[in-house]
Amino acid sequence: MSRHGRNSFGRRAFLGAGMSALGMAALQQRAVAQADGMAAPRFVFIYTPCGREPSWRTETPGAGFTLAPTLQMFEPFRERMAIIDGVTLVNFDYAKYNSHLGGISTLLGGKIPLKKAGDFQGGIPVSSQRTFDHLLADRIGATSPVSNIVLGGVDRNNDAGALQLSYTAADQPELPIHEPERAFAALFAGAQVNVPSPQDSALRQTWEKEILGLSQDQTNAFKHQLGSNELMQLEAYQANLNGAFQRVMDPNNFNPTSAGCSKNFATLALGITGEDYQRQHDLQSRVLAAALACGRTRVATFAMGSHLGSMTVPGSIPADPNRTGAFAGAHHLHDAGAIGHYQAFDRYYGERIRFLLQELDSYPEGAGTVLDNTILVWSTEIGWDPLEHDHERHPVFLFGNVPGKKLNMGRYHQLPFDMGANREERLANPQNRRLHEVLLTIAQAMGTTDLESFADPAYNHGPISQLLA
Amino acid sequence: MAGAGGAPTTISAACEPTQLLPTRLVRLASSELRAQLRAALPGVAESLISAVDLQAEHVAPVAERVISAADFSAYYQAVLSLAQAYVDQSADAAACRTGVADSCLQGVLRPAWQRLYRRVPTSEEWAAASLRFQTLLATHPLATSAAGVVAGALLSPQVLYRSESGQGTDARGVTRLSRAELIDLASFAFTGRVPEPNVLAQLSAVDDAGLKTALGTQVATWVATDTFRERASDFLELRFGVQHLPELSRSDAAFTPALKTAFTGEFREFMGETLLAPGGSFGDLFSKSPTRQFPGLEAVYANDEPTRRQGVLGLASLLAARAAPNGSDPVKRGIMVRVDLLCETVPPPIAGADFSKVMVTDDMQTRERFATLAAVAPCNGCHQVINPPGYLFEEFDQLGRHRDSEKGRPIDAHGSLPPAFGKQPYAGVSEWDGLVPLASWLASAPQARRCFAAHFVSYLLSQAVPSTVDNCQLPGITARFEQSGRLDELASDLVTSDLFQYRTRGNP
Repeated sequence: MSRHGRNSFGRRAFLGAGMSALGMAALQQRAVAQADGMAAPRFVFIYTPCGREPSWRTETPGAGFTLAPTLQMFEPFRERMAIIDGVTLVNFDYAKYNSHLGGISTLLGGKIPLKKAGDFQGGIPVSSQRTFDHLLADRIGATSPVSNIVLGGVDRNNDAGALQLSYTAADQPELPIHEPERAFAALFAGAQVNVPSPQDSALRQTWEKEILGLSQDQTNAFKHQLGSNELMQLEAYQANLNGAFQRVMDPNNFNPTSAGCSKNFATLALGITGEDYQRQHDLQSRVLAAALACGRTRVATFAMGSHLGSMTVPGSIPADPNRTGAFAGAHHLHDAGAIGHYQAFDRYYGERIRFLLQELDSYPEGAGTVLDNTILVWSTEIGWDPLEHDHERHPVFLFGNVPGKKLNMGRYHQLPFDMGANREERLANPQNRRLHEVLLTIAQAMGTTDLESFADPAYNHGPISQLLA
Repeated sequence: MAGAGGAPTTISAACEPTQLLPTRLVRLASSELRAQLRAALPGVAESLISAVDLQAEHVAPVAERVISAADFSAYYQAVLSLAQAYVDQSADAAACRTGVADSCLQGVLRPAWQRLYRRVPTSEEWAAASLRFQTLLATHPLATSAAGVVAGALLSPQVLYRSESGQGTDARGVTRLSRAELIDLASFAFTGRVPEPNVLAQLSAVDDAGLKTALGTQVATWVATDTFRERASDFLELRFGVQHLPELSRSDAAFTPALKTAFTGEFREFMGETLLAPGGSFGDLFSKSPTRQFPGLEAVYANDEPTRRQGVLGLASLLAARAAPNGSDPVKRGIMVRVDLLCETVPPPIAGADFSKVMVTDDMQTRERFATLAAVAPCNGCHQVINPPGYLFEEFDQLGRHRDSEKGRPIDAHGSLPPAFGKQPYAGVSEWDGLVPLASWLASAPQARRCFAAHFVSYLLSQAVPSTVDNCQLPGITARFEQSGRLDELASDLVTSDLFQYRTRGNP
């Protein structure tokens, strides 16, 4: 309980007095972007489970980097791609948590997780904070109809929190929407084919303003009946109400949709083929790309699989039929069969992500495409050598860019990394850079510079200069 | 709200308040919310009700029911349509289409709010609603204004959440739920919706001293309904790991969507014939066999050996859910027994184990391969405990089909249940051949009943109870169940318990 008290103070303050200030900051940021003639920034975090086969690393860092066999599908995007080698995660403590769960709960976090009762090593980690995707959405997504979204694939096994990457607050995970139809319904809810007349729009705005005002009145009345635990639980919902109210009050943003942004799910699904997993991943990607291009959302997290899931992919069946299928069955093995198994998954996920990049690249924007103004971060909860279940030299891939091309793409960034004596030392060494520092660097490149408190100061050395153009 | 007894008086001093659940908000699950809307807004087309689809069903614990920005966006648009449809189409709302403002407010909106809030709105709440209604009327027609007020309620947390805040806290920070909170909790836990008006009237009429008994009696009625059986079946799918069947892939052409559907049907039908049948018990779950072969599973049970199956452990659906994509999986099945059925804790796999010198060959059977890998130090420390119960299932492949042999040699399905890590051996355990003796043992094992009861209680409360199977409140709740194995007795003893009726405020 006390942990909630400590961590919720800032959030409450933010939701109360700070919300309007933050909303103003978001509006100002948009105004600056528009004045510069730049598109609005967008952010997508992609999670795939269980690390990847070690050959993703190259011995030729810099602009002339070579792409490993499992990364060849990105050759057409190499100038809009960056590989980051030499970061680890939050120092979650191997002694306290399962390697997978410790990684998952901190991928989008900047601080040590909380421990909940559970079967894994006597405790299950959960994020101790509102995660980066939400914090960024508070700033760059506040004026879009859906400030951010968390998507999933067919694999929905969330046992022990296997899919809990995104948190609205401490210990409040936002689970992925796995069904593309539901994702579409959420992202395009309220999008209208016909733009209403100014008079109708003004009336509608007044109506919605009173509705949201009434629900806020009721929320305040309800809060008088609640204790501190319940007030904390209400915060995320209150943030939704506040966000909707803010959008309705914004004359430039009310009824932002136009005919061009109205989409039909059946039309989006045309031409999507393949096995169940592939079809669903690609359909999610197409829906997401359409939503990002339309301004329906600006921030997304896409959990493509679960490390406890049962997904199989083409080529993941090695000679021994008993060593096939889910990562759960093979990723603890340490032989050629396991390597082949990993490579099959790496190729599969790579192809799916390339599909998403192609979708984003199909939408023109300014002198380029939506991909040019969308930064995608692809990572996983396990580090360099997944067979060891460690978190050193974590595989991190960037695609796209932020508006103004402020990130140094088209390179393999080799960051210094102290290997120390063992994996515990590597994770604990404060000099080793962290994934959350990459995220903060991206935020800074977007012009968002007020997120420093998101990360533990002992493990935050400011922007990673190599990544900035 | 009327109290159910004011300050707490009965919470045992021997049991720390930390063993109670905290005061909390419980967001209604998606189906619960739709049921609530159907009851509160009669006359609205089902298609509009169905459009209300907030993520998280009743099987999800409270912590996983966060309303995301995306879900909120969809909900927001859905309730605007819903509210307008109610005012435009419902016979109950005629006064807001043709009448005057006051008759609309008092005759339509106020009762609708009361149904939506599941209680009489407070004066503060209703004053705000009335004021907004007047404001809307200044710029909008009566019906549109009324729809706005209904929409405002639908977006209010009073509709979307139940509170368990209690009233009157003792020196240890313990509070007893109010009468309204208790009735709400019990009704949603067992039926997934607000109580029927007659039930509400009945429970509201009894005095504080009689409320416990009245709730216990009412729960006995609820437990006998199909609604409860459906919810209990959902829990049982979770408990046995069958809920992931639709997502599983197997490298076997026979594992079709139709087969997955049939597997789910088999599992749920068997639950209805055993634990959830009138007079059924926990023991039946492990000792009885299905009354028929479920349609669609003929090929799975062809060439079967019925004497090698028993109870839920012998269902092909369960065996398929607990397997590897291309074969049986003694580790998964062993963990099912140890963790899911006996509530033991199993350490996670050890990273970096060196298997490079382990000889695993293509002609090895599944058991031989698992045994070879499990013999490697330091993995062997755990796998000599995990694997032996898993070997008992070796006669059944990844689709739950019986097999006599693998790789051209007979199957060895001998196994056991060695003592858990640092624990005493279980009584009645010996070397067994196949899953039948394990099923017979589980049918009456006290540890299995305690484990099941702890999880069932957590499910009904939508939150893991502190210390799960070791919670100090549980023995008093599960005593009768441990003897009889009857779910209705467990349910009744839960609702009359301190764990159900009290909460702790903890540290503010």
